[in-house]
Amino acid sequence: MASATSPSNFQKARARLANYSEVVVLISFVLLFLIFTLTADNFLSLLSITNILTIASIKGIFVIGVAMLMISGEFDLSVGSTLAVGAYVFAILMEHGFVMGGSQILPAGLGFLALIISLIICGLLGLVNGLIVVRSGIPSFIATLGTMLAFRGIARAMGNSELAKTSGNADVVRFTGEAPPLFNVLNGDINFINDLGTPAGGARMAIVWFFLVVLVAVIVMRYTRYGSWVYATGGSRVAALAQGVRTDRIIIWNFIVTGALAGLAGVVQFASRPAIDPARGEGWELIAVAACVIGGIWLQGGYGTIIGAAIGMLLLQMVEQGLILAGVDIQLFQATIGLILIVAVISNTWLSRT
Amino acid sequence: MKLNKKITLMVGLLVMAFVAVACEPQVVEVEKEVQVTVEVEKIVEVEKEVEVEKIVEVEVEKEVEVEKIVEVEKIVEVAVPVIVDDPNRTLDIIAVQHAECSWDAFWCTVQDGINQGALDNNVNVTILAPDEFDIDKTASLIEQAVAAQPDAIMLTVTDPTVFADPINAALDLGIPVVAYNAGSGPNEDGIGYLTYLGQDEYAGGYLGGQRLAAEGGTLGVCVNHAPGAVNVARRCAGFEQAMTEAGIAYEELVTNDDPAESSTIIGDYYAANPDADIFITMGPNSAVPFYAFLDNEGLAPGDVKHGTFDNSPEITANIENGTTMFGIDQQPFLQGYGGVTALSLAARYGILPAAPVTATGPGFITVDTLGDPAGADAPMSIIAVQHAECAWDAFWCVVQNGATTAAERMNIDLQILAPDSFDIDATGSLIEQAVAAQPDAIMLTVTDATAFAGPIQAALDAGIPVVAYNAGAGPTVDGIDYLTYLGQDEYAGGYQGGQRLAALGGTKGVCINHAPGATSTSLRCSGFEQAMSEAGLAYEELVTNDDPAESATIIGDYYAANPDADIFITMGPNSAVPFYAFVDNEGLTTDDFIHGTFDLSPEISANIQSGATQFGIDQQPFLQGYGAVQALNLLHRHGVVPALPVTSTGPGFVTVDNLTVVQALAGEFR
Repeated sequence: MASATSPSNFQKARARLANYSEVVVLISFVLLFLIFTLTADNFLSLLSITNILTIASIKGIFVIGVAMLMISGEFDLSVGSTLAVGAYVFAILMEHGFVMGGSQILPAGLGFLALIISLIICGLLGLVNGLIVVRSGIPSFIATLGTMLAFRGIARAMGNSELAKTSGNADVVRFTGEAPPLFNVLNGDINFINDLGTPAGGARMAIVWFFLVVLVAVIVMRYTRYGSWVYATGGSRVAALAQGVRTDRIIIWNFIVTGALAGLAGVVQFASRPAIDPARGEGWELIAVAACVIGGIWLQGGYGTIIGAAIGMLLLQMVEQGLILAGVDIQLFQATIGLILIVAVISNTWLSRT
Repeated sequence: MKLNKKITLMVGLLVMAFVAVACEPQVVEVEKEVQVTVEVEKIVEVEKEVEVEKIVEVEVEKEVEVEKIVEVEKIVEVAVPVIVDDPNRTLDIIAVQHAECSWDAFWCTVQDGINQGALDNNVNVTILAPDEFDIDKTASLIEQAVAAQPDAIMLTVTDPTVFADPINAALDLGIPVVAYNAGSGPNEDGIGYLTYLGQDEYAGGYLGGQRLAAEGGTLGVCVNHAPGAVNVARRCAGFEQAMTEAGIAYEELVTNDDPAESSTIIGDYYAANPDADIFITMGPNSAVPFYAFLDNEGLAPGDVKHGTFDNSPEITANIENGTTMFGIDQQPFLQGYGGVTALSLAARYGILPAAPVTATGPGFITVDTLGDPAGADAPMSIIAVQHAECAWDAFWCVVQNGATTAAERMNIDLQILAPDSFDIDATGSLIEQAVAAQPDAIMLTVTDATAFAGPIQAALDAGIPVVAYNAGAGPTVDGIDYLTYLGQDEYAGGYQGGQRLAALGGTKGVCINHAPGATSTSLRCSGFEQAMSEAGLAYEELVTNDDPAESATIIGDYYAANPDADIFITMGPNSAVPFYAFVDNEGLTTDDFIHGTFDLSPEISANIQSGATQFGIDQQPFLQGYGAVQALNLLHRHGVVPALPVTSTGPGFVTVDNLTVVQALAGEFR
């Protein structure tokens, strides 16, 4: 009898845990946090912690979009390129305005309007992704691989264009004026936090934006019909369709949201480091996928949470900062992240194999 | 709950296992320490050496460049770093660069230099770089490096706009920072790091031009395949300057990246200008078309003289066969090595690089230098010959401490020779005896260029490399073909000092010169004048003498006649002390004037402390000894040559921010 109850308890516990897809990433996060606290000098300093939060937050903003897409069963490999386009649009509008045929159609330094235009353009790029995937039926992995290259080409062309009007240092657009208040709102220092410690912290507004994006996404995914539809779309598209979920629309909207969030990440980043080059965001699409997978989102969709993806992103950044503080050479970063990814996926799979 | 524990344990063990593996210390630590080969900014030094008269010419050009800097941004105050508690402990330095060896072979040489510098300086270096070219990631790596609070940080300023905040975060913590390979120096980048280590393009063109012009010529041509690029424009400008000074006509010939078309352009040009007999090319992209042109025309080696920037298999082959006199190398090894040394000296002893740009190149690759260096582990002996020594002149204890510290750290057998009292003739004989001992290298003071020319030439003829330290004027001025002279750059001292003073505001600058005949003080005043004129301020030189009371009266009379004079620079205690007397006599307060001075003394230190004097300029004698040993070590073991004829060890600015550090280390390191 005893031997029979034990596996059944075990099964029950596993089944219970399987309802919380974040459990693996959460445990890993806490463990790694403890390990770094013990092994890496200065890991618990204000500067180190705020660094992790700030740097993770910029990528985190679009990781949330990618997470929603993955839950609905789709990929977006073009986010890094979309980010670059968004940052270029914002940078050019802020620095030069919009000039066509020799006449200044929009003045420089538009601020909020530049932000909106940039987000709309990135949303449209997302719409393109969505339409290609939905209308053609090409797997999103392939479709967005194509648009990743295409959008990167757009970013390069913008860097090289008349619009950018750069001289000498080709391809790089930089904001040369006095930083407008909008930049502080988007990614200024959060001084009341930074002044709490010595050395001063590195907290920036990106953390706030990331938090807001996570908050809204969590509410949408957990408490709205749209969220349920996203899960349904990713879980079983046939069943979802049978229940009247317009899966095509869900997918298209998720692509639009992902594109706009990528643009927001690019703009937020530009606000603190006001120069943009065509390679910006290259390789970040895979970091986003890694964060989501570590966070417990299934590649085939229908399972996982926003919180998990957010913790996944924080974990990746924490590992980078922790390894630097531990004095480890850079070559081991990728190896470490790869290992974490595999361990996380194995653990998640094991948990969900009820 | 049991399950929770099991899961926790399993995941934890896994993660811990690989983290433990990953964290296995990868320490690059070794014994020695190093020194810096600080070089001055471009034009200033180069020209200065030629002759004092030339300075005028040179400065004019420099003015153009510097003016731009002033327009764009103000002179940036270099952040004074905090020094470490124990100079003998192993330092932790983090290097952040935009590329690395595993995916860009150029960086392997830089990293070799960093690692060797770490060994030679008793430093641990951790190198951080993104997995692929990624400016933003590089900036984040800098931020994360700062969080580690290392003793120092070296980095590439690939994009000053993006990197400014992360670098300033390090500077705010008192962490010393130098830039290497990518950057333009603190002033142009607008970031107060210590110095930028990279090629001095103007000096490359200038020194290359001098080599080509040495045997005469009619028309010098700068073959430029990249006419838009700023660095290439500087190369041609330096070359042009050398041609002008040699009385040779100059022209720039623009080609492009198409080899066939470019060689036709050169051929057409040569047909129209058959008197063109000196050519300098900007790299393989103009050298290869040049070689094609030579073939087409059937020209033999020696018909025209050729030198080039950079190196490639074609260029090496043509150096070997005598067609090309030299290739100019930016010496990436020295960029890494020198960065580590500069930081080690700054963090340990507060010894700061003398110039905003520390030239690692031009390094001339000629048919003589194509051989292999001795290697890092080769035994090495150096004999130092100097006109004075620690036993009877305390100043020299600091110089000798620098030399012996470097020799110990680099595992070099160093022998110091000096006469029992000041005796030029005996010093010259010591040089001759040193040559007879056939060491791997000799360092010496060129106290008297005429008297020492013979003995030094004997060393050079015996194939022994020679550098000068503390006394000398550089190979060009001394007329002796040694490698470089390590000492104070007087012009740069006056210039940088003037910039600092002008930045505080003012109307009229006065150079108070108690030794008007001396070359060094006139160079100091010229540099100061240049800074004043760039800042749009009036300038005058006021001659005093070695009598303190009389000098104070002279200054007082001058001030009565020129009440608008408000910026003063003095040449040392002998003009600073009368200046302080004048200030007392007139009852002036620190708001009434801005004062800086060369050298240090108890009075000067007291006035720096009180805020009356902004700075004293130190020639950093420790660095003269240390730097000479390092330069010879780099040459013998690693094939790295000093970039400039004068390697400046000063000006080292002593201000209220680092006065206590300097006083604490006085007599040993300062």
